[in-house]
Amino acid sequence: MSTPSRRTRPGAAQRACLTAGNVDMQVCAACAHVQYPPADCCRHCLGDELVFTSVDPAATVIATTTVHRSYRDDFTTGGPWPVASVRLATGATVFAHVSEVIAPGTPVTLVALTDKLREGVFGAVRAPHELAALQARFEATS
Amino acid sequence: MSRAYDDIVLVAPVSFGYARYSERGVPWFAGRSLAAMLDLAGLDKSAIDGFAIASFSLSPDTPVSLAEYLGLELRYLEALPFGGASGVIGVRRAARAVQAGDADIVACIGADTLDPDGFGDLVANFSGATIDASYPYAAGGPNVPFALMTAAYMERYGATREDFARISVAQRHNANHCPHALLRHKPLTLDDCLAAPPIAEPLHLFDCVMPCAGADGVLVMREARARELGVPAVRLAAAFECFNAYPDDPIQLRSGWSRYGAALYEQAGVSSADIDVIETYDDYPVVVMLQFEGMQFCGEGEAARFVREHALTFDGDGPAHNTSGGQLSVGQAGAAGGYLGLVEAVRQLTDAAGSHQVRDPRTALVTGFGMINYDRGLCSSAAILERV
Repeated sequence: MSTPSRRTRPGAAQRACLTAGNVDMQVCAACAHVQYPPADCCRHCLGDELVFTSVDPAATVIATTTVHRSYRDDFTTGGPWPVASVRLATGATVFAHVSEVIAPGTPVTLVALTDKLREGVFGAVRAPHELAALQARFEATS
Repeated sequence: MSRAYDDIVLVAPVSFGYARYSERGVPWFAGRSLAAMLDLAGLDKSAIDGFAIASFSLSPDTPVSLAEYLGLELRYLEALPFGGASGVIGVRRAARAVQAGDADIVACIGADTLDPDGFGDLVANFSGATIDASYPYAAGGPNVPFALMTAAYMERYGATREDFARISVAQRHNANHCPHALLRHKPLTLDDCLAAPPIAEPLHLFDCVMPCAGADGVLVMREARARELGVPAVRLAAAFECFNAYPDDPIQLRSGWSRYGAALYEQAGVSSADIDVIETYDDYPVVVMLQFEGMQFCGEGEAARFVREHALTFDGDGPAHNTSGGQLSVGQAGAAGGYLGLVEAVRQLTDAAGSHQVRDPRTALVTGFGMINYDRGLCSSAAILERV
């Protein structure tokens, strides 16, 4: 069992949701704001009751990059790694693993993956078959 | 816009100790650059009663332990954790302190050291958001956010990799004439840029700044004091600082320059057409383009055309840009990168730039940008400086 990579306290809770296969995010009990990246305090109303809840996984691609050089060791092999920023209807922006460069404006669905460290992360797919391919890639390079 | 800066000037521009890596700590960089600034101004250390420091690598020291280390007795001490926006913000706040009588002479310094693991450590622990939502996605550090901004800019406005490369190439020409630029000995062509290895596409090697060690600094005082000392001085005509501009933009293609640029020119009584020297924050060419647009050298989405139509060199026609080579060719010494353009502008306006001197510049614009947190930079700043 490897040591889990570093997260903040709410980040570790986010990771646990994704590791369990759930596309959850913090939702503010006071104002219903969907908060990502996770935090201890709601950016909108400053409330502190943020509950991990299943969210609508529909998103739109803002931009994609293909990463050839990364500072995290497990991305130095098996690359390059395409990463997209995607936008939820609620306004949250998510960096997510993708299978290739996807045109801006393309509809995608957020999915839960487990990465090379067996930790839950977000992926974004255009069609269900891309999920298996994304997951297989992490497993092939572990 | 806030009130004017009266007779506040900047003197004694110093760039010190630029090296790819260094075994020296921040106190050495800060102390030796302060010594050089005092030497230029003909001042004793005891005349410094204000100090503003910007540094990422000061730990385990703090601003006050650094001041103690340097033997400074102060009545004004400011720390500026604003990365690439720190230079303008530092001199702006120092100017306010001098105006208010809280200090007579403020030494403003950006200084950072770097060891071979230093930048990776900074990236791994930069902020809560980046620890949780960037680093696990191969997206730690500034490369990925700027790659996404560059991709979005290209898609929206039709800019090409060559347009961005023109900025790097023009700056390398300037660096080839600047003794302290770390890449001064290396020529760079458009073909070199286009053939360079990919880092985070569409960014390739020469679209990305090189981290290094170094320091930059200036002194802030009243014009009358500079005259008594007989040192060349540059007036702070206008300045702003801005944090978390346009937070609802899905991707960052503008920042505080769009919000406060017009007011900045109004405060200085000039327009973009009056600017002889532009010193932008340039860790990646796309953000240079956003500064050109925000500061009204061209319209939104028109910076690629602006770059194609202007030489942007210290010895070309039209406005000179990043005359020392900028960070893309000098190197990015952490928070000193936020002072690099400011200090170079003071050199240019006092005819102290030597082999890369612009001919008789009167007015300079300095812009800053810093703290890339998750998908955007959170700090922006700008100042207009005028020859006294």
